[in-house]
Amino acid sequence: MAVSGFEGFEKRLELEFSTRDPVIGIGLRELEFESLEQVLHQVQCTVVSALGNQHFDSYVLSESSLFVYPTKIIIKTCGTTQLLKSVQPFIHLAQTLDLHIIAIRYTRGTFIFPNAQPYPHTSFHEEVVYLEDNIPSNLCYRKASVIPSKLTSHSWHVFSAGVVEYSDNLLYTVEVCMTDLDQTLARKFFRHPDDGKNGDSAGRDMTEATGINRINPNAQICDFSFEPCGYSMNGIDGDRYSTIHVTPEDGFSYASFECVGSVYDGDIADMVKKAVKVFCPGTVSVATTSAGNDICMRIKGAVEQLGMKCRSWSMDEFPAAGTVVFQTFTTRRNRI
Amino acid sequence: MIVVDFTASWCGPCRVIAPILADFAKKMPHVTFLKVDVDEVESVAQEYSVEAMPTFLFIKNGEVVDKVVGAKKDDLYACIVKHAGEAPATVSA
Repeated sequence: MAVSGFEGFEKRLELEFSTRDPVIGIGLRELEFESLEQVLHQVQCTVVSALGNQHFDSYVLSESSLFVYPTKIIIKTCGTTQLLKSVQPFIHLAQTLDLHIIAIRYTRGTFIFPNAQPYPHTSFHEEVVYLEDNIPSNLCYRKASVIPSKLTSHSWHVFSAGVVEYSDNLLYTVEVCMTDLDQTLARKFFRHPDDGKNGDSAGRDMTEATGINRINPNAQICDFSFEPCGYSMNGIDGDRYSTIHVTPEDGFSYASFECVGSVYDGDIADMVKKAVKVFCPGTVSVATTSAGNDICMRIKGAVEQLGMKCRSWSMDEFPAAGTVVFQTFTTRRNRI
Repeated sequence: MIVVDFTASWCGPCRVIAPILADFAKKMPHVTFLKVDVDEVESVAQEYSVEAMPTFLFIKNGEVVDKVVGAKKDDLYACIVKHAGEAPATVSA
């Protein structure tokens, strides 16, 4: 492991809103792009590409992704971004549209370079204090927890708060984090000098060359390739998003895959398997939020089919978010 | 050459690319830029299988020669240059 390098592990924030008006219309999608840009500026990132459909808007950022639904914002950023600084601005922007926050969820894995993180991300404790100070008191169903695994370098941090207790929901979220990527595969995410391409065309070529476009053939993909290396994509399929981010450098290589699933969906486990296969990582962690046991078991089976061994299965209950299950896998040769 | 921008008032990404497109239109008078609002002209959007937005179709001599899906500034520019050249062609007598 390198002494220092780019932090691939993301911080993820999900904010849910509600209005007293029975007609929501396009809700948060009405926000001016300049307003969104101002918030992103506070988080130290910018929009590099974007794509939308009738259900939601997706943005590829310089440091990951942003999704804007009528009543939900999902923002995921990596590196040393101060993601939590977007909480207050998003709450205020929503208020201008008469939308009020009803739930928030913050999740992340374990940083590879924790000492490089700025305030308020220097520790989970500091993040929780910051969150508690910046959300309204009526989000009273709160819990913060660090879900462990057998790997000390891989824990799952969750902060959840809401105005009501969680009730069964058709949708669940799957967050996959991969480290120690196969270097031959990771090299596909490096740009070549004088390749005559731009970030958009190089991104598209990477999507095809790596088979990322086959993970969900139904999705419209918005991709981007960074210089000298790095890749991001958002997939949109109806009202579902998926997103992949890659830090390919040896010594701190990292890739993430995230998607939303529904109990009516085809095969989320198959999508996870295909995504992991793109990178052949040494270690995989899968965190699911509000997914039933059978979905977690199917995902476990799919990852094991790739020859990886499940090293841990832990879970915790959150009053406003339901059950979070955290599994870790390593290749059979790799026990660290 | 014609560049058709399939857009919608409720689509955030369409707002991202709007000023960039306006800039291209100003700098490239030899290209025609058209906007199709997918709500106002649903049939046209369906005919061209527009599923996500913004979608740009490049039409030359009545045929679709290229497509860009997403608010992709560099791709858009590269496509315009590829099919219509960078600057208006000068005509000599």
